[in-house]
Order: sequence, then C-alpha cells, then structure tokens
Amino acid sequence: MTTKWCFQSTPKALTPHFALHSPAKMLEPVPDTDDALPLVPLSQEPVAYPLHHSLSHPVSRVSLCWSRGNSLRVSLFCQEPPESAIEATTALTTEDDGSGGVVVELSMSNGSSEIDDAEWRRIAYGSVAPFALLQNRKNSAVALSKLPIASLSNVEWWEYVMDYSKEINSLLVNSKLHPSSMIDDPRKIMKVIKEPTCLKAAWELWGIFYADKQHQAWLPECLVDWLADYDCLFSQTHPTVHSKLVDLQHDLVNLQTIEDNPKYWEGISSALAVGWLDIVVKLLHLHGCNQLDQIGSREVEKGLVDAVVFLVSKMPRLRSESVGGRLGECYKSRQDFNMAREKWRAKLTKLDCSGFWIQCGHQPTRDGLKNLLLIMLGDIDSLSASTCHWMEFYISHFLHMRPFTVGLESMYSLAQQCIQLKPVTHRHTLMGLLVGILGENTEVVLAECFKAFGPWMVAHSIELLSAGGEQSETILHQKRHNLGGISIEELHRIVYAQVLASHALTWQLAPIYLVSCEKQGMDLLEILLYRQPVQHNQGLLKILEYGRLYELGSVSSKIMMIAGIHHWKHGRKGSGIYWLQQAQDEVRLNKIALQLFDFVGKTVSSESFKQWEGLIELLGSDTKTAGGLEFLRKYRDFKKSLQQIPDGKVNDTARQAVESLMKLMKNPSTPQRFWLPLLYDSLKLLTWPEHPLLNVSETNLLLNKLQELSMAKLRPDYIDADLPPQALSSVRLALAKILDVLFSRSDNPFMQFRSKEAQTAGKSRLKKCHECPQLPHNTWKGPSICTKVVDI
Amino acid sequence: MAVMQTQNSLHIHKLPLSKYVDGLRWLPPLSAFDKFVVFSLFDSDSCSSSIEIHSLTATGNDHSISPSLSSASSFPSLSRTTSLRVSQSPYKILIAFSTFAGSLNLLFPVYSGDFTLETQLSVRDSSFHSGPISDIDVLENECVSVGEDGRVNLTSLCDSRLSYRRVFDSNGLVSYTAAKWASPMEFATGGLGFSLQWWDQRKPGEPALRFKGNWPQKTTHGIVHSIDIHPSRKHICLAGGSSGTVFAWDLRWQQQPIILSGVGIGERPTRSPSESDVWEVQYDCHLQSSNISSISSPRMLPVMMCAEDGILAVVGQGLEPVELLAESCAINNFDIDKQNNSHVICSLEWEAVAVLTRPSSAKLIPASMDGGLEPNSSTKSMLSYIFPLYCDHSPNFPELQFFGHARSGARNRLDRRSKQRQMMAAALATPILSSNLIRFRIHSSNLILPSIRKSYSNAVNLTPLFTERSNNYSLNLNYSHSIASAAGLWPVVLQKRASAIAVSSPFHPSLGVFCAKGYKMKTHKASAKRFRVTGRGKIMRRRAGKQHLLAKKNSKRKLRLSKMVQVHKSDYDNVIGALPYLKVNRQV
Repeated sequence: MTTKWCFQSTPKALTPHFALHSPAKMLEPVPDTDDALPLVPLSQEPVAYPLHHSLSHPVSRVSLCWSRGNSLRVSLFCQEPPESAIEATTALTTEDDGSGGVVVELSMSNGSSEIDDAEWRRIAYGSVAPFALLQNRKNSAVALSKLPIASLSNVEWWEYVMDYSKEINSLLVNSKLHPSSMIDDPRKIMKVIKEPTCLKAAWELWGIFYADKQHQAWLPECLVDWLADYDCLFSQTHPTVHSKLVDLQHDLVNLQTIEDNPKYWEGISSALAVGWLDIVVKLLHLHGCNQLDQIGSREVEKGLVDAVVFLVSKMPRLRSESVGGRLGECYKSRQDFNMAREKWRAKLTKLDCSGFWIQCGHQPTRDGLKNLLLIMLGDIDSLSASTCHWMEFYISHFLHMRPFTVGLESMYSLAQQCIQLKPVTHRHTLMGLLVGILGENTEVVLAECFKAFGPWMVAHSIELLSAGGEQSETILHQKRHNLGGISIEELHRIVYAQVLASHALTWQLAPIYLVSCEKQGMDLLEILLYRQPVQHNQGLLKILEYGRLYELGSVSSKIMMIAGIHHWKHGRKGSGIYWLQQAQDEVRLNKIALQLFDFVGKTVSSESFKQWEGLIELLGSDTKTAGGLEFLRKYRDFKKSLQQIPDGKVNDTARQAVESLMKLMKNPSTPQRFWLPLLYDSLKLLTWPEHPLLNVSETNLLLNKLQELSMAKLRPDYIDADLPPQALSSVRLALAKILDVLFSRSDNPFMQFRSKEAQTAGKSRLKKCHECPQLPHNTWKGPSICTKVVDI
Repeated sequence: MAVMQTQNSLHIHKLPLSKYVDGLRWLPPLSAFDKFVVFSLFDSDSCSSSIEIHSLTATGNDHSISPSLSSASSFPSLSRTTSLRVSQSPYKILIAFSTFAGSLNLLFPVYSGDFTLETQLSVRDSSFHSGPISDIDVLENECVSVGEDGRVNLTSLCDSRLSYRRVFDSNGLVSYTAAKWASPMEFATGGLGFSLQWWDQRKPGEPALRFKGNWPQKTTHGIVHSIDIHPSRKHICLAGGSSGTVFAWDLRWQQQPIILSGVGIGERPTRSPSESDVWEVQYDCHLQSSNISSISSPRMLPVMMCAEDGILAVVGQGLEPVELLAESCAINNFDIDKQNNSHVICSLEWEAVAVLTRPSSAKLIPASMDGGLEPNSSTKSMLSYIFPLYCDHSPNFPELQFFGHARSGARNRLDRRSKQRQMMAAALATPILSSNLIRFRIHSSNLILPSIRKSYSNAVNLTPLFTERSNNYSLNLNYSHSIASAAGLWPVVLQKRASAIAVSSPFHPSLGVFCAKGYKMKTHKASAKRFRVTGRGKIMRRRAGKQHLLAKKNSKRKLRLSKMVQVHKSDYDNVIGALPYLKVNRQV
C-alpha cells in the first residue's frame, strides 16, 4: 500500500470536474492519459501530518477527501506500524515517527499551468460583473420581445456581446507590465511588451469567430493579427517564425555584414510570409547598402532594396483601418481591394522583370529579394519553405495566395491540407481549438476548451458560442435526458459554480452563476448557503445577505437558527437569543427560556439583576418574538418598582408594583416555580398597612394561583424554591386578610354577613394550616366561597 | 442620489492584492514623500495571515497617474485578525490588532527608510477573552477590547509590558461588537439589537449610560458593526449596523436616535444609500458644510459609510447621500487619511483595495440653508477662478494643495491660523526642505485671489503622490446632476434646493445648535439657569417683579408675573451667544 498506487490508478476519477459530473464525460472525448490533469503535491515537499489513533484493526487503509480549494487530502492508515508505515512515509519523503499514519495534502490544480491560483481568482472576480450584465441584458431582451434569443440578432445585441468579450479580454492581460525603454533601438526588431498567455489567445480566438460580427468580413486579417500576437506560444514546442526571429535578434548584434548571412534572408522571408511587414521593413533597412559609407558603391543594390521596401509597405490589406501604424494599404470593400491588389501585383511583376537584377552584383541580396517577390506573388514552394508551423503556412495562404476571399468551409479544408503538408508531433491546445472552431463542431470546441482551460473558460465562452449561431445555440440550450434534464450551458455553469464554491474566498461568486441556471440553480444555491460556516457574525451576515438578495427567506431563517444554537451552545447566550429571535423560532426560544430561568433562579437577587439588564434590553418591547423570555422583562419591572416603594407611605409606586405583579401572575408564560417567590417578595404589598392595594377579583386570582401551586407541590417534578417553609401560608394569610378588609368595608349588609362567614371559615382553615403545614390544602374551600360571594 | 462624476472629480484606482484584506488603516506620515498603509491580510493559499505595511506610490506617465502598492514590511500573525487600529501619535507608531483566537497584539515598528519591528507585545489568555475579540480601539497607550463573550477589557501599556483589567463581564448574556474611545476616561460600545453603551472608568461595574432608543415599530433590530465619536463632539456617538442603518445617539437627548440612513426606519422613508450591513462608519470632515455666514449648520457632521452591497457613500443630516463608489462586491473596511482627508482607502471583498482621491478643494453647498447663502458674486467668481487654476497649473509642481476650504468669517480665520501653526510644526520636524514648493491659497474674503507665494520659510507639503496633471479637473460640487439640469444657472439651483427643504421642513422643524465647529464652546452657566427652550424651539424667560412689594399688586397681576414669556426676537442673539448648545428655532 503505497501512495503511488493511489496516484496512478485514480487520476481521472479524482479530477474534480469529471468526478463530480459524470454526464460531462459522455459529451467530451475521454482525454488521453497524458493530457489528464496530473496530481501534483501542494508544494514541492508535501505537507504531511502524522496521524495518531487508537483504532483496533482492521481500519480502512486509505481515505480521500476534499480539503480547501482544489487540494485533496489523502489519509493513510498503517495496518502494521513497523513495515508499511515506513513504506508509505518514505514514498512521501517524510519521516516516520511511529505514528498511526499520515495525512498528505495534494493539489489538484494543473501544475504546469501558466496562471497561478491568485491570478485565477482575480480573473474569476473580474468576470462576474460582465457576465451578470450580459445575463441581465439577455433576460430583459427576452422579456421585452417574448422571442427566443436567437432571433435577437440585431446590432444592439452584437454590441452587448462585443462589450462582454472585450471586458473579459481586458481581464486576461497579465497585470505585470514590463518597463519599455524610451530609446528606440534600431537593431531591436522584436518588441516584447506583455507576456501572452494561452488563455488570452484562446479567448481572442473565440472573440474573432463568435463575437466580433463587425469584423467578420476581415476574418482572415484578424487571424493574421492574432498569430502575430501569439506565435510565440507555439515556439515552446516547435520551431516557429517567432523563434527564428528571436534567434536572429541575438545574432544581429554580432554580425558585421548581415546581408551575407543566409539567416538574415530567411528571417525576412519568414516575417513576410506571415505578414509582419514592420519587421520586414526594419530588417531591410539594416541592409549594408544603406550605410552611409557604401551608398556610392552599391547604388543599384540600394535601389532594389528600396523598391522592395516600397512594395512591402504598400501591400494592400482588406481591413478597416491600420492599427497602431502598421504598414500596408487598407481597403474596406472587397472591390477596391481587388483593384488595388491587381495594380500592386502589376508593379511586382514589373520589378521582377526589370533589368536591374543583372546589374546587382551581390548574389545573396539578389536571391533574397527575388525570394521576397516570389512570396508576395504567392509561390507555394517559397511560402512552404519560409514558414515553420502549419498555422503559419495556413495564415500565409490568406495573405499571399488566396487573399481574403475564402469562406469558413474552405478555410477548414485548407487547414486540413496545411496540417497534412506540415505535420506536427505535439498537438498544442490552441491548434485543436482552432480546428474545432473551423470545423464548426461545437462539442469538440467545448471539449478542447474544457480540457485545456478548465471550467472558467467554458462557462464564459459559452455565452459567445450561443451568440454565434442558431445551430450551436440549439445544441447548447437543448435539454438532455442524460444530463438530468438540463442543457449543456447550464451544466457547465453548474460545474463552474461548484469550483467556485469549493474555495472560501470565491464561494460568494457562485450564486451569480447558479441563479442563471433555471432548473437546478436555486436548489444548489440553497445547499451552498447551508454549507457555509456560521461561527462568525461577519460571515453569517454575508450569507444572510444572499438569502435576502435571492429571496430565500426560509433558508435565511434556518441559517439564523443554526447560528443561534451555535452561539447558545458556546455560552454566548445573548447572541444565541438574538439569532433565534431573528429566526422567529419560538419553540427553541421557549426551550432556552426554561434553561435560562434555572440560571435566573440561582443568580438573581435584587442587586445582581443589573447583569441581566443588557439582555432584557435586547429582548425589546416586542412580545411576539421574545417568546417565554418576555417574563424576564416583566420580572425586572416588578423588582424595580418593588425597590422604589418607601416604607409605610401610600403612593403611586406601590400601586404600580401591584399592577406589574398582577401582570406577571396573569401571564401564562410566567413559570410556576416563580409564583411563590414573587408573592413572597411582594408580601409587603399584600400586607399594606393602610388599606388593601388589591381588589376582590385580583385577590381571588392570587388565591387561585396559590391553590394551583399547592396542588402542584404533590407532583414529582415540582421544584422547591429556597423560601422559608411558612411562605405559602403567610401569603395565604395576607390574602385572606385583604378579603376580610374588603368585605367588611363593603356597604352591602348581605355581603358583610357573608364576608364575616367567609372570614371566620378562612381563619379557621388558616389556623389549621399553621398547626399542621403538612396537611394537603386541596380540601380548603375558602376561595371558592369568596368567589360565590362576589358572584351574588 | 447625487453621484459624483468620476471623470472630472473623483479618482478611483483599484489595486488587486491577491490576498484577502481583513483590515486596513493609514499610517501617520513618517517621511515627506511616502505614504504608508497597514493591512491585515489573509492568504488563502497558505492559510496564513499577516500584518503588512505597504507604501503607496504613484507611478505612470503624464496621461495617467496610478498609485501602486509595494510591500514594505510584513509581520506574521497567528490567527486571522478581526480588528486593526493604529495609534495616531505622529512620532511613534502603534499598530494594534485583535484576532479570532482571542488575542490582542501590539506592534511597534520603527521607521528609518525601512520598517523594523522594535517590540511586539501580545495578550493571550483564557481569562482575557474567550472566543474572538470583535473590536478594539486604541487611545494613547490604552486599548479597549470587546468580544462576543460579553467581556470588556482595558489593556494598558506600562514599562513595555501589557497588563489588562476586566471592566465588565456579562457572562455571555450580552455580546459586544464594536468599541470606540471618546476620551481617556470614557468609551462607547455597541452590540446586538442596536444597543449602545457608554462606559465611564470612574463608574466601574456597569455601563454609565445605556441607549434606549425609541425605535419606531416594525423595526428589525440589527447589529452595530462600527462606532465613531468625533473628538470635538464627544456627546454624539455615531453607529452603523444592519440593514443600512446609520444612526447617532446624542447623550443629551437619550431617547431618540438621529437616523441618518436606513431602511424601514422612521415614519419618513429616509433615502438610504444601502440596504445591507454597514460595516464601518467614520466622520468625514472633507465634505463638511463650511459656510459660516449661515449660522444654522446641520447638527451632525457628514458621515462616510461602507456597506456589504458595495457602496461607499457620505450621508448627513439633511443632506442627500453622495455615493463615492459603487462596487459589485462588498466593501469591508475603509479609512480616511487623517492628515489629508481627501484620500480614502477601502478594502474590497474580492482581494483588492481601492484608493480614492477626492479633489482637495471640494466644497459642499449645504442643503439646509435657511436663506443664508446668497448666490452672490463671490461664489460665482470663486467657481470661475478655480477652474483655470486647476487647468493651468504646471505639472512641475510636486504638490498642489489648498489650505482650508473657501470660507469666510473670523472663526475660520482662527481655525486656519491654527492649521498653519500645525504645518509649521510639521515642517520644522521634517528635515527635508525644498524652497521651490509653491502653495496656493484661497482667500475667501470679498473676492477670491489665488495668491501664489513662496511658502512660509520651510513649509513642506507632504503628499506628492496624488498630483493630478490631467486637464479634466473641475470643481466638484455635490448635486452635480441638478446643476447640470439647471443649465448652470446658480440662482435656479439654489431655489430648487430651497424649495426641496421647504417641503421637508414640516416634519423636522429646523432646530439648530448654534455652535461653530472646530472647538468646543462653553455654556454661560448663569444664563443657562435663567433661560430655557420649549419643544418648538422658543426661548423662554421668567418675568420680573414678583419678589417683593407684593401686597400692593393684585392677584391677577401676580399670576401674570408668575408665568413665563418668550424672549424678544431682538434678544435672541445675546441669549444664543451665551448658550450655544440651545436648540433654538428662530422661526417660531
């Protein structure tokens, strides 16, 4: 059992996108084993954590799980610590310290990728806004016209797509700019301003073929420009014109008479073949005949070079306008272009036939210039000889042989011919992409893209593709059974959203992609929100913000509930109550209230109540959300008013205290175990010296409560308060006295009579109570008599 | 909502950092030509967090000047930070930060062309805070820290050793989320349910005051995320929290919150720039209304806030909110440069920071002008003057800064003079001198004359960074839209504003506190005992002649003399001069 085994046997299954979404496999060609994402350890030396466990055998030997981001966590348990542990750990170049196993974190990202994680994140952040904008525009356009998107192919729509394409393109520019020197070196022929990346090259290719309808007529010219920018990407694996010119650049410094060197002429012809006219002219200016001391002796030579320079710089091009001072005459319409080209070719043939060639004494110059003329006249052999890569050969066809008059179908067959003529050993990803695009094979294009550039590229380029034509649009939007009823477009968005969701910093981007998925988006969004950690308030509020934005009220309240429970369990009672209150979860609040009252019963004395002040403030005056905790507030009010009463003086505060007492006693949420302490505390009020503060009905209510309490005492779950044993009876006595006073003051003689009766009856009972406190009180009829009296 | 036009007034530069920004602060100026920002960063690739000091420098060519950040120093942190503060004393830097692990750390970096760490102190104790510290604040050498566990601790530095003491422990019954010093003895904290507490060290054991807001019904209570207290107005505690709420608690009128922004609060729908959580609030002195001729200024200074929905805005009482930045991701923190408050830096959720440069002479025309500002010739000429001033200045000047805003009045002259004193002091302390620096000053008395003169002996202005050379400068005014719509005619604009205020006045009688900014005025205590103000804003006094010789006065007369009457309008100025904090309404 070594780690090697698990690396080799499972790369495809572990690749995140293939593993998570097996339907994707059916659409895309199974990648070659060479091209599959390699498993690279997170850093050069993988971090290995020793595992200590005391599990008895047999334990599972290997466990795989996702770690943060794209990394995979491989845990190895040792069966027999002496041998296999050493075997496993030596494979990982870590030391064995006699532990029960190791955990290794492996990065699943493409190790050889040119873009690191931080850069990818930057691209992901930046591409959200254009994506969302395009979706919005699409939705509003659909809502307005009630027509399918394909019929929206008006000018405005293309502008939107172009905007989108350009914005994303601007993101892909590598942020690190090389400082460009201000002094122009005449011997410097290649300018390297920015580092091109395959990703940017691919995106531009998409833009040329699918987004840029304005330049559709000049498509071959766009390809020429594209190759000029990105030819260097191919030179990593093949000899290219670019690499040739870079070599020449190195040699130029050392060479004295460069026109004798065949490399010089090769470089010029290659540059001309792929249409880099600036470089051609620049190189020709370096020709020895242009030097001041040799002008006199090499006049004919110089005349020929100048003529070629003139012809090169006047080469007709079918494009809108010359970009950045590029050479060549630009023509917008095909007719003008054809006329100009005919004239230009006439000049070429005239020069070719002129007699000056014989007078030119320098052999290499003559051959080189002749070769240049042949290239410009479209001689296939010279073109083939001066280009390296099939792509360059292909581009040179457009420039010199069949200038800009080919359609997409013939472009594809031409590309096939070129590949046959100049076969390549290593298939570059961009080539596959280009062939796919030319072949108008949507599936192939998507598969190539996914393989080479990952889900970001696919999710975003699909927008261009669906704008590209009706056929690809139907392919992308068709609901498929094998994908669970979702379309390819949705599938790729979901895949990308999954990738985003796996990272702690990018999960907030995933909702934007998920809501654009009609079928499964919202469900996945809910799952995503549930999976986020809620420990910290800031993170929690960010989750809730998404709940609010996408109107997922039930999800939000559930998350708040989870947070509330979390805080409560960690001793942050205030936060717990707050979040449960926000979630309006009365069931849990009531449960919590019971626990809290235990706490109150122990700690609350009149002094330490100020500790509770903050919590009571938090509960607020809104009784609906507080649940059972509302009691706390009333209890506090009551205690406060009780403290304010001065001794023996009737005033409003005493009356207020009684009112709050009655409120507490009437409220069903007041727990039973607080009844007696409450009444005992308010004994001062009940035995008010001057006149009773309670009226008859209130007294009756309190007596009823007392009765209920004495019944409850018999039950096993009764919690005894820390009060003197006579508490109950003394309260009862006080209440009876109040009744006595009230009835005796009443004017009705009948009432007086009955009250005396009741009074005596009550007193006798009370005597009994005092004599024998253990006696069950349920036989006592006092209150019921009184109630009857009042009824009469 | 008036959005500043970005092309000609506000310069925004977004700088990706490729690390998550947990907190950021400007550092006080350390050298003449560098600006430093301290970040607390979290690197998700290596799961490590650090405190990094970056220097902010301007690069670029003549057409576009873009600031760039370069790391000057980095100190590792054990856990992610929750709060980051910098002590503002100019010659000693103190960086304090708190972590999720419940530790408080103080760093003392020393700058001499490069940062070196002199000392690093930290408190990490289970009895200090259990769980994350939610917020800290530093004043001089004392640091208050509050946590969700309901503990409030004061940590003080003495003899290069940290010692802490518990101020309060609620045992988790109350969680605190924000803290801010008001004075060396007092600080304020905020918590759940928009609760605010005022603590006084002379009253230990419990908060000295609690905010019992009479919030209107149907208010969803949120969490206070940030508190700010202006050093010259210590009685007002500003707080920002959930659902876009920014409110102020005036200790003198404790019941009613002054709501500056928020959703669904108050009878009147206030215009709120944001609907989600406001992460940070700070007083913003940049846009303060500085017209002293209208005595009735708004009660509150403008407030800058940043929110979860990517809004950085300035709100004020009686002012339209001004959006400075609208991002597609959350803005978690921001800081206004204390030395030059036209520079703001804010951190974006997407691992980036944005640097904002506001035009340094921006002057806000106050919305609530009780007819105070006439569109007089001086205002117009000021406008016409500033335009060419900005357009014509040569790019050779390393610095162009307007001292003070266009103001008039004796008080502000005083203010300006004190500012100049400060500058002189700074210049003397700075060894780098240059004689060819030119300072522009605006004299706002009668006509505005931009007199170009050599600066005082050695005065050096410290910020060469944001020198703007492009021609697209104009005076930025708030309400640029309305100005545009009124075809640039000033009188029309002002009438428009005035009518808008007239509509809103029935709801809020314009009670003004007639107090100048900048320094605190004292109440004349004898007068305070003799006058009072009614709810409508009238000043009342007692009547004379009821002390003696009462036998000859009949009862009707005596009764009349016992009642209070209103002070005559002509005497209002005298009373107000004595009692600057009286809430007077001159209209009733």
